[in-house]
Amino acid sequence: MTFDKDVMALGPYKALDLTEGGYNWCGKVLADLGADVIKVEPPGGSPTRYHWPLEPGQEEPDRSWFWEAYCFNKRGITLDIRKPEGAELLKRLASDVDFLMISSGQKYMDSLGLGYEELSKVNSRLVMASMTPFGESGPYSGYKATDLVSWAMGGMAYISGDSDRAPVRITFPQAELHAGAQAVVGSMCAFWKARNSGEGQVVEVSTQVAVYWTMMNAGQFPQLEGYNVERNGPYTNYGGPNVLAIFPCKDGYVSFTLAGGNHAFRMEGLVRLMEEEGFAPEFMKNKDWVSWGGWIEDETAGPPWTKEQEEIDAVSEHIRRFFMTKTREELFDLSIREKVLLAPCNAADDVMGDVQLKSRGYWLKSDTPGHHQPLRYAGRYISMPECPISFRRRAPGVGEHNREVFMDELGIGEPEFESLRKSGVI
Amino acid sequence: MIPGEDTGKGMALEGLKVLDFSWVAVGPITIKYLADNGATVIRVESVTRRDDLRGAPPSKDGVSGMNTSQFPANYNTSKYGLGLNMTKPESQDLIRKLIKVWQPDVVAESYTPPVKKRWGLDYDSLKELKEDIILFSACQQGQTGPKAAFAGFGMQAAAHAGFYHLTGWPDRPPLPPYGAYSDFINPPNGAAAILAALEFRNRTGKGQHIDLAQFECAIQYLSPLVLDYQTTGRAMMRNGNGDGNHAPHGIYPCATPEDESEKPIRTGGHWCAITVSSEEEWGALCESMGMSELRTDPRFVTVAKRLENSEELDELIAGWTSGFESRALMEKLQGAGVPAGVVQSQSELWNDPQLAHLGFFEMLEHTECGPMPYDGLQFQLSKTPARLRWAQALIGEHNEYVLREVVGLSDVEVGELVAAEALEFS
Repeated sequence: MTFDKDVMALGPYKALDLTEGGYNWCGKVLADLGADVIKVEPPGGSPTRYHWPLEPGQEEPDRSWFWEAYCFNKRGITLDIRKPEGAELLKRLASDVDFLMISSGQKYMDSLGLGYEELSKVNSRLVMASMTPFGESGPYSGYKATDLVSWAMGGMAYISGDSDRAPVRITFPQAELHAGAQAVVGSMCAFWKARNSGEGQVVEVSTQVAVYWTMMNAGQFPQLEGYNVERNGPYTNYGGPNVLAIFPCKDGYVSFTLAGGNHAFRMEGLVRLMEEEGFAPEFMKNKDWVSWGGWIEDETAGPPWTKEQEEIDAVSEHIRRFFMTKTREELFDLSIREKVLLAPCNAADDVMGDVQLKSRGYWLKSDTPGHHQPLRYAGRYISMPECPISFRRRAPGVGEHNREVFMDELGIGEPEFESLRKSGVI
Repeated sequence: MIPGEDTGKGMALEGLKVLDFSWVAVGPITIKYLADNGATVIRVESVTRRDDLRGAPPSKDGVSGMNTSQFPANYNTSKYGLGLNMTKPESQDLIRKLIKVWQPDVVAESYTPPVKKRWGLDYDSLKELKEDIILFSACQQGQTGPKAAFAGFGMQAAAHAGFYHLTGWPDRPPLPPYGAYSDFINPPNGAAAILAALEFRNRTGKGQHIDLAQFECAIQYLSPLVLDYQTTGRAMMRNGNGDGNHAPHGIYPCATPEDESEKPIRTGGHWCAITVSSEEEWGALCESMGMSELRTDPRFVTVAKRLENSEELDELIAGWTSGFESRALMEKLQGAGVPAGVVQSQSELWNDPQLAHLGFFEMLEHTECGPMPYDGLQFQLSKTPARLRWAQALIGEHNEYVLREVVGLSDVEVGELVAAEALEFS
């Protein structure tokens, strides 16, 4: 498949992606933005090819939707970098790329003679991103982590979940994706510098720190407010009264933010909707919502922290009764009309059916072996009209681009290629 | 901070110029990456139409105020503060002059399209002032499409993209992951796209209008699930802390330390995350528990059996973990090669030896509040490290500097802005 490098933001640039799991997100963004990203996998294939969700009935190792979703638009080669010939080949490849991403730690790469020091000798502009669970040094740097461990150590688990049960994570693993995102913005900063100075550098990302950075405003509560933010089920948990944040409706749940002050017009809009169908009690019709909200007594922003629990419960109960008569989609459309802070709680099937995504051309379609219908991939994470993100290729099969990369691009002859293959290097 | 003193010299993005009109979380954090890495950023704020987060908790000494809140402060380090009432024609004129004279590379905003147009911040108007300008717009649903008018917070986009559905317990309603979750997916990916657009501009001379729809970007962190749904007809369901392929995999109760009565207040209990992803780790866990017989127990002998009997297994493990303090348990299990992590409260994060080793948290001198605790950097660059260059500015703190040094206004011209009540200060 050919495509025009000049119409993609990073079209002329190359990357080697040695990462596993959700750390693949870093290379995925570079690939979406147009870079030629090559997955470098151990012979036999990357362990990420076995990450769930798996497609039933397909042959391993080509059945992971996790692999497919986070590696499409990349090319793929196999290479045993633990073997000296493999390490040498990686060095040759690295001599002509702009980015390199790892998730095995720099010490491991150093031990193979593939640390930044060595690689920068053959490519001074190289930007190398290293993503690890806790950082490259320090008391926990040798610790193992999985998504749940990172979610716990980064502070998000403690503040999520019902108060009468254990803290919870999000069921689909997130921590490494966040680390991948921090690595990609770090890599782009370093790349910008390298484009100006000719000199690359290392970007280090701690997954624990990346999870910390999803905690919104929680971090400084102990120092400033004197208490920790606690998990509080479906209610907000910034201190003050309990304010329900998820409401049931006719066909599921909606996220709804109760807010006065600056956002009084949104409450007024909701009361209008309720009134139209006889659900607004007198006290809500007559309420001065401007003075109801506010983090600061005489100021006007945000949810009603300063108000009485009893009144918040009464308001919530009337809203709940109204919501129960409507579906999520009905409520969403009414909310757009009256500027209410509400959105449906969707599952994957609802997202697939969303009319806004469809009208904006969000989905990227691909013919996929074994499927009669083209599959729809979550495609364009951001819209850049002059250099749009497009679907260029499915995630690579094991060693799919070995010949292309090693022979056509690196200039290795057939006999040498065959001998590398036989000795298990490729 | 003395304006003009820290020019970002030698930093990765030295020389880039950004005019930031964005508010709340996504836009400000996106631009913070650029500011902390050396770009010169002027952030325009208004007292009369204030950033919702100014005043939101936590705040210095627990007292809410426009300048005392740490919530927005974390997202606006290293930026100059220009205070303007944008509804005044004089302010709009000033911005036109600023763009013409200063020639920013990027303008960031999160207004609705009609407001943009009214204030001359729409892409076509900006292009007249600087041909290759990059306009970065962040909103919930995107600039186009039938639901484009929807305005909401990250709580709404997170629910809409599917994160609420996937948080909590299968026998209970969905839960929010803490805070405005999608607000912490969008910024790094948005910042990477801005830097890629700048690189594209340098090559082609073309600017563009980047449209970040927070809903669309958030879906990316669940994107394997839409492929899964298309091929299985099954929309993934929340599952507490379970993992479909591994067991045990959970958060287990731990003993309360003796010094629990200490401030700051903490009521969420003590927990440790433990996950087993291989037979080897399962064996190591059994040994650590002193129950090596579990390895041959027919209920737990294979991963399939452990998944089938996970309730019994979790009860057994919880009985054992309850006898340990969480940190001691993590150290014991990590020592045995089992991934484990303390469910850290915010107090524990501030005492976390690994985060301390990385030098993550920082104190910055704020103009009104004095020394304040800030969230640290998201990544480390080895040669041109990012820095929190200075604390969040007050609204209008750098008006004098911007008007005189950057725009080059005379006393008379500044006087006219004062007379028109265009300038604002917090």
